[in-house]
Amino acid sequence: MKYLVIFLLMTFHIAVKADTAKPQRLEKPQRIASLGLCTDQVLLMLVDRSRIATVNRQATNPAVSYMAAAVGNIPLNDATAEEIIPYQPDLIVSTSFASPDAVRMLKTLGYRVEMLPLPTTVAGVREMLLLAGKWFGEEEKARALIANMDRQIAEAQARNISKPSRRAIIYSPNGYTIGSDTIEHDALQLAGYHNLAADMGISHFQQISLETLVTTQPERILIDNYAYNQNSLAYSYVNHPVVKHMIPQENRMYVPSRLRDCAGPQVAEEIAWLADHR
Amino acid sequence: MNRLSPTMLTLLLALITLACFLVSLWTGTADIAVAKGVTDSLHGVVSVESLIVTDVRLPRALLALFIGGTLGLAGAALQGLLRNPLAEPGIIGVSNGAALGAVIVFYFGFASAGWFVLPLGGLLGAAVSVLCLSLLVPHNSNVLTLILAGIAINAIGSALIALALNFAPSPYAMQEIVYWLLGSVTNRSLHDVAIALPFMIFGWLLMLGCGRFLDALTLGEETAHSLGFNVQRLRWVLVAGVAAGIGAAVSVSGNIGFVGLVVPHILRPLVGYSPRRLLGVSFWGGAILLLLADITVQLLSHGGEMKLGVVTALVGGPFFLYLILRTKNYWS
Repeated sequence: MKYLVIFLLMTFHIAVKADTAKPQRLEKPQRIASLGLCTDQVLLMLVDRSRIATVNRQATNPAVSYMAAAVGNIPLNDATAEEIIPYQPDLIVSTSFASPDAVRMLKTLGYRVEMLPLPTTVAGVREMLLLAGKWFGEEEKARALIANMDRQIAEAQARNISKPSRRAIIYSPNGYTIGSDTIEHDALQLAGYHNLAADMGISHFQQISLETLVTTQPERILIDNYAYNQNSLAYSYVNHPVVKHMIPQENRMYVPSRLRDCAGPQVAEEIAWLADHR
Repeated sequence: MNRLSPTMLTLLLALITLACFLVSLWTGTADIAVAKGVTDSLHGVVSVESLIVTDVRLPRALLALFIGGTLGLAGAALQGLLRNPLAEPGIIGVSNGAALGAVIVFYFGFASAGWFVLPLGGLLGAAVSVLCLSLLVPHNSNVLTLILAGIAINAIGSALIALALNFAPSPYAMQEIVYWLLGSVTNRSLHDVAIALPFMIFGWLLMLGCGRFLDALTLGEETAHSLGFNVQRLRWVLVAGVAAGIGAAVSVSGNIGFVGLVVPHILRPLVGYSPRRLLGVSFWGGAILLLLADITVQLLSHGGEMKLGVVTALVGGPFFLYLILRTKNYWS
């Protein structure tokens, strides 16, 4: 039985290979599939809708997806290999967030799967866009996106130059804060803030108690806005009365999630939002 | 052995509770001058210290005191009512019933309808599980029947909690099952104290008012009846008291097990095995145990992420085993 399955998989493997072995490596991929929200957004920014085979269901959720309006009638997937195969994509893009099993299976079946890196700096976003541009055959568009990003950041910095730097801390549901070695940290600095979590020696994500939050004495608290109106204990951190009492309402900032869920060119808009609210 | 008079014992336990309460105010992740925090709060000054003391530590310590007291009292009341040494709100499934009621109210947005809705949800959940238990277990049945029925109700309760959390709209709901099954008073606010306390006080009064009835019940239902107690009515009063107390407590802290089991057993010999005298002292005993458990949690895990039920189960689980071994002549 086991050998039969392997045999069937192998024949399927060969059949798929034969089917896709057209001389198109040098051409632009025409049926691109994306497995996750972060690759969905880059794909929708760089590539014409007609060349996109499928994107993840999350891409249509305006709370988390910067490109929700651009999805249109592109078929949606839930990142399982079984759903992707019928589209016979000539390029599959994903990140390390995707199920490793799904990615391994698609690779075994002979599909071209490219893993997009998850940048931890704004400079890293530029590199990521150039890399994706090369895969999609849209290097021109990638360079234009980067120029637009850089212009947005420079303009935001210029129009807020007179404002003082602010001591800020990010506080998310379940008490998570974000320290150094993250794109959020880089964005905060570019927007003219001093990240108090990094002062505490925190790198990446770490949970801090309400007591620790109070002792940092921030001038601004940045609160993740995702699922804000839904009841859960995760919000007993950010909705706790002590947060309201320690800092006035105008200094509690709710950054739109769609700007910061994925590291992409939308980080420029996040930086502009942060700088304008400084 | 010199026996303390019941009044002296109550006074002593209340003093220990006060001491634990103060230690709890002094325990937390932030290293602050607590005395300054207290004076600042009293003078209406907003400082780091006053914010932490009044908004973070005070509600935590108050809830540990009140909820621990409720659990101890309810344990003593249930052990007296069911005349069963292993009866406890957590073991017989009342706490999980309360947690289910609170989960449904909280995650599906009903709690915004009014301050009383969340504890009321807990109360109804607790009441339903007590009713199921009394339907399943005939009066005067043996220890084993009650515990087995409790296991079944507990299992159904936790499965329904998981099911409800699965369908909850919040993406965080599913991971919060740990809180509901193991309990915590971290990150609670004075608002939580305010919504739960009226129901808990109501429950305390109902349970404490049944002391003489419980004393009479030790002589059997017939005797209690012939002594002039309306057995049927008082049974319902006690069940309502347990449901109100446990329902409100669980709705703001999750299911904290074993307090109601351990406390009455430790204190019973000290009050001459009188169920009536056991009620009051079990309140203070429960408060002490839960305050100590919360202090342990605060010291062991920064940010209080460890759950209270972990500590109470580590104390109560072995104790439960000891009780089973000691009472094994009931079983065979």
